[in-house]
Amino acid sequence: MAVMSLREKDARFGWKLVLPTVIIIALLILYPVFYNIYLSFFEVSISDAPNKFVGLQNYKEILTDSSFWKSFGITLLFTFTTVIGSILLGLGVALLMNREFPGRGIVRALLLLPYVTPLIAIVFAWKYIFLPIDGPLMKFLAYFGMDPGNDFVNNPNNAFWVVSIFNIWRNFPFVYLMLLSRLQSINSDYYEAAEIDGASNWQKFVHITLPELYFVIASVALLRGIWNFYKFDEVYLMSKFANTLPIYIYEKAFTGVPEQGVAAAIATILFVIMISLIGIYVKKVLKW
Amino acid sequence: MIEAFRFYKELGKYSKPGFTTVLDALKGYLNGETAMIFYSTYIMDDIAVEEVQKGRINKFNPELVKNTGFANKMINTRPTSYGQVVALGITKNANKEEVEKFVKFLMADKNYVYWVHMAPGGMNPTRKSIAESDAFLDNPVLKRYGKAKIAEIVGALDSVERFEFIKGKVITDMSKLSANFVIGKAINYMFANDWTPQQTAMWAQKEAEKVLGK
Repeated sequence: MAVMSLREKDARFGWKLVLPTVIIIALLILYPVFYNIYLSFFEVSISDAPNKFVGLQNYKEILTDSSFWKSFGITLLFTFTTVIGSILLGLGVALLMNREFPGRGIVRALLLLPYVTPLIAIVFAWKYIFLPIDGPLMKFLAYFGMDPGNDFVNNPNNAFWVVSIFNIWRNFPFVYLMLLSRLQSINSDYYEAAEIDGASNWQKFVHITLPELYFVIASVALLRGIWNFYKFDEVYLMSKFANTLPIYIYEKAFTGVPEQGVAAAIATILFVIMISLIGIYVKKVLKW
Repeated sequence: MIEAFRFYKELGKYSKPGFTTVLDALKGYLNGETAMIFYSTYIMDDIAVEEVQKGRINKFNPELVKNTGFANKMINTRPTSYGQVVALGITKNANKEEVEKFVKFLMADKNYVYWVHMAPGGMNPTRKSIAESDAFLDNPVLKRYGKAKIAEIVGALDSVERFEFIKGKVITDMSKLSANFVIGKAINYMFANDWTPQQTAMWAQKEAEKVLGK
């Protein structure tokens, strides 16, 4: 019998420990991913007839479809707007909450509410506040001479801004939480030294705070970017007209005349785009 | 189509403000905020049954069931109604004999009444003898409306027409347009952008061509 070195033994033991996780990930993530790629080459039948192999036909159809590209543009804009928006708002709030003031603990906790409240409850609350005629906000604005019959949330032309603003408001606490924890760990010596050198508040922010926060902001932007690029629930519950890609896929796959092969191909294209964008981002911005 | 959009736009002037969803329309009617709505027959228990209505708007108007009338037909060039016949399909590979027995069982007098009473007033019988029978009317929801009103609603079946189904033929292209909500979206945009009926029809035409890949 061959004698195993300690190193080999350790390696084997390590594999045994991670094996359950590997199996679960393979079943729940890898299998659906590969099955999705496989489906994208078929015209998927919704009756008991077998799927028909169509090669790259689905891909050709999508890449020449103007509504796909329009939807793609909207999604990029949505991701960009919401990531920048929630980071700016989160950063602002984090800087404020880093100062001492009475009642800070309560305010810090309350600020988390948009992020921790169940989504469906918030969506109904927003819709109620903006309800034409009866909504509290509309009633209030009517005192200032605005027509309370306006319907901001459900107007299909407002869809993009409604879902973007809603998303920023919902997710800024996440950004704020991450940034605040980093802010608290910045050594106050830096600021003292800068003050002795006569630096203004703005200079301290640009030359100390921002560089210290750089990697946190970059990581948060990556996470929010990935999440918002694929965001379905927050968008679809607020407006059926926002038309971002996840909704485009959903409509292709499950509404009208279902084209699940086409939907699978779109998902595959997005997967490739996302993987390459993340790769570039991690190398260039996070400098891994 | 342009004429239909024009009619709808005119109707919109008298509508509750905002872009109303199904639930807004229902609550608007029950609350007395709107005098008329387009709705499915599934509204019957919302109007007549106290618990159901309270579940919607937190109050109950017992007069509403008496004061509600149903326009079971729309008339422009001919009387017509919107509706949907739900059929039991038998697939090619099915055990035909057994399935036929099951269908006959479901459609038999007592069982059929039991079945449509699952949603009283919402689902209505397609068999005339059942629709006129006392057994069908013997239901707490339907009783509150009385025989005449129920007969009026069931009678709409004689003039049901669908864009997707003309003279015994299924128009698949129209089914695709319906499934993609082309006309509904067009109406939505007409009000959102204050389009003329002509502009709306042009948008609908373009959208339809896109959906059908023409």
